[in-house]
Amino acid sequence: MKGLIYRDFCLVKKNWIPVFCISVGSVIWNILVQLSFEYGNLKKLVEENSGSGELARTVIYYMGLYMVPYLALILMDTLSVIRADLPVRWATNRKIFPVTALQWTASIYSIKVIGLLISVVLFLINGSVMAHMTGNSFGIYEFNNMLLFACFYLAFDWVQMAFLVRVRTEKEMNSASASPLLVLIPMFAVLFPKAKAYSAKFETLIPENAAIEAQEQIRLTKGLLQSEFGVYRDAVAPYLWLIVLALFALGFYLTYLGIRRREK
Amino acid sequence: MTDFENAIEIANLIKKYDGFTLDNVNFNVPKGSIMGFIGQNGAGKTTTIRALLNIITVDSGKIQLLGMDNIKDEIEIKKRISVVFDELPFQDIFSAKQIARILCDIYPKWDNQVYEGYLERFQLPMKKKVGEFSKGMKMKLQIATALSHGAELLIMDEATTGLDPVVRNEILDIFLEYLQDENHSILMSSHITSDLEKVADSVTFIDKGRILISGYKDEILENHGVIKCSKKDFQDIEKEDFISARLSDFGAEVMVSDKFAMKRKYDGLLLENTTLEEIMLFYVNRTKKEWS
Repeated sequence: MKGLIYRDFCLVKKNWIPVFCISVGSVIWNILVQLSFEYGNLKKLVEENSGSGELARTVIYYMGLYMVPYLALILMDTLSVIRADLPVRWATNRKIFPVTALQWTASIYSIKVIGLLISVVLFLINGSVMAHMTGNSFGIYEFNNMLLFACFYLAFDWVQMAFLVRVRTEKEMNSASASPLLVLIPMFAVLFPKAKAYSAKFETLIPENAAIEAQEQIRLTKGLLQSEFGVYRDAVAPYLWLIVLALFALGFYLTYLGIRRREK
Repeated sequence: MTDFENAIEIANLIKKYDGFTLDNVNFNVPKGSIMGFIGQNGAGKTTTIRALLNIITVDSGKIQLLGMDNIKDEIEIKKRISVVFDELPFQDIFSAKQIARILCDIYPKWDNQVYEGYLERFQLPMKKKVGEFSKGMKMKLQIATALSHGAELLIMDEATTGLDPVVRNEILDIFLEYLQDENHSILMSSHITSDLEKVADSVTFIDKGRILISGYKDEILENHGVIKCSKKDFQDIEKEDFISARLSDFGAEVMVSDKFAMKRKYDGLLLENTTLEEIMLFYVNRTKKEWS
C-alpha cells in the first residue's frame, strides 16, 4: 500500500505545500498580532478605544485560535487527487492492478489521516503559544471546540467522497464538488434563525452612540459566542472522539463502496 | 499453480447495452501463443477486454484467465498479468522512476533491474516527467512496466495505434522475445492488421459484438482467398459461395472462405491469396453482399 499512498501524496503535494505554508504562516501571524496587542500599535488601539478595542482583541484571538486548524484541515481534501485522476481515466485504469478496493480506500484515507494529524499538531502549537502570550486558558475546552469543527469538516468530506469516487467526467466532478451543500444547507437552516436572534439581541443591547462599560461588552461578546455553541459542545464533548471516528468510518465505508463498484 | 491449456477462455459471454450487444462471444487464447483480436472501431474489442478484466459487469458467460475465474480470483490473476491500454495510466507529473516506486509495491514479483534494463534499451530517461515524453516513448514505458513483474499474460488494447512503423516494429520484436517463454501468452487487440499478420499465431475477428472467425492465422489466410473476375463472370458465382464482393468499373473482387473448394468449383477464375485486412473488410460488408 505504500506505493499507492506515495502516488496520492505526489498528487496532493502541489496543493499541500501552499496550504501548509499558509497554515504555518497563520500561526506566525497570530503570534505577531498578539505581540502587537501586548507591546505594539494594537496595544495603543486597545487603550484608546477600551470597549471596541477589547472586543476586537477577543474576536481576533478566537479567529486566530480556530482558523489555523480549519485551514490545515484542507490538507484532508483529496479532491485534487480525483481531479488529477480524471484525464488518465484512473477510475477505470486502476482496475488493471492487483489492488483490492479496501487497499485503494485505505490509501486515500491515509492521506486524510495525515492531514488531520497535521491540523491537530498545528492547532496545539498555535493554541499553546497564543494562550501563553495572552494568559488565556488552553485545554480540553478549546480542544473539544476544535474537534467539533473537525466533525463538521468530516461530515462535508464523507458526503463529497461518496460522490467523488463515482465520477467519470468533468461535469460529474463539478457536481460532486458541490455535494457538501447537502450538509451545509440543512446546517444553515438550523443555525440561521439562531444567529439572527442573537444579532437582534446584540443590537438592542448596544444602541447607536450609547456608551457601554468595556467589561460588559467583553462579557456579552463572549457570552454570545459561547453560550449556545457551548451547550451543544458540552453535550457531545464526551463523545467527540467517537463522533470523529464514526464519521471517518462512515466516509471510509462509502468510499469503499464507490471504489468497489464495477461499471455497467 | 493450476495447470491450464488456455491462457484465456471465454465462453458464452453476453453483455447488453442500449444499441450494442456482445452476443455470445466464445474464444480461447492457447497458452504460449499470441492472439490478434481484430475488428473495426466499435466492434466490441475493448468491451470484451474490460469484461475479461472484471472492469464491467456482464449479463452472462464464463471467463477464465490462467485457469482461474476472473471474478473469484481477480487479485491473484492481476498479479500475474499485465494490461496495456492505448494511454499511460499515470499523470504527467510522474517520472519513470516514480512509477517504478509505485508499481514495485503493487506487484509482488516486480524486478527493478529488468525495468531499468528495458528503460535503457528503449532509451527512456528515468527522472524526466512522462508529460514530456512522446506518444511512442509513453507506449515503450508501458511495455517496460508490463514486462517487469514476471507477467504470464499480456493483454494489449490498441496499444500500437498512433505509433510510427519503426516504434511498432520495435514493440512487436519485444513481443516475440517475450513469447520465447512458452508459459507466456499475449492477447492483442488492434485494427492494424499488418502488425497481427507479422506476429499473431491465431486471430479472432469480432464485428458488431459477434465473433465471425476465430482460429489459427495461417489457416485462416490459407483458407480464405479473393476471386478476381469480370462482372459477367461474377454473375455465375452463387451467393452462398462467397462472403461479400467488391464491385468496381473494372470487375469484381469476391472473398471466399474455402479457397480450395471454390478453385475446384469455379475453375478458370483467378483466385488469389488475401490478407487479414481484406478479410476484415469483406466480412464487415457481408450483410450487403455486394458493395463498392
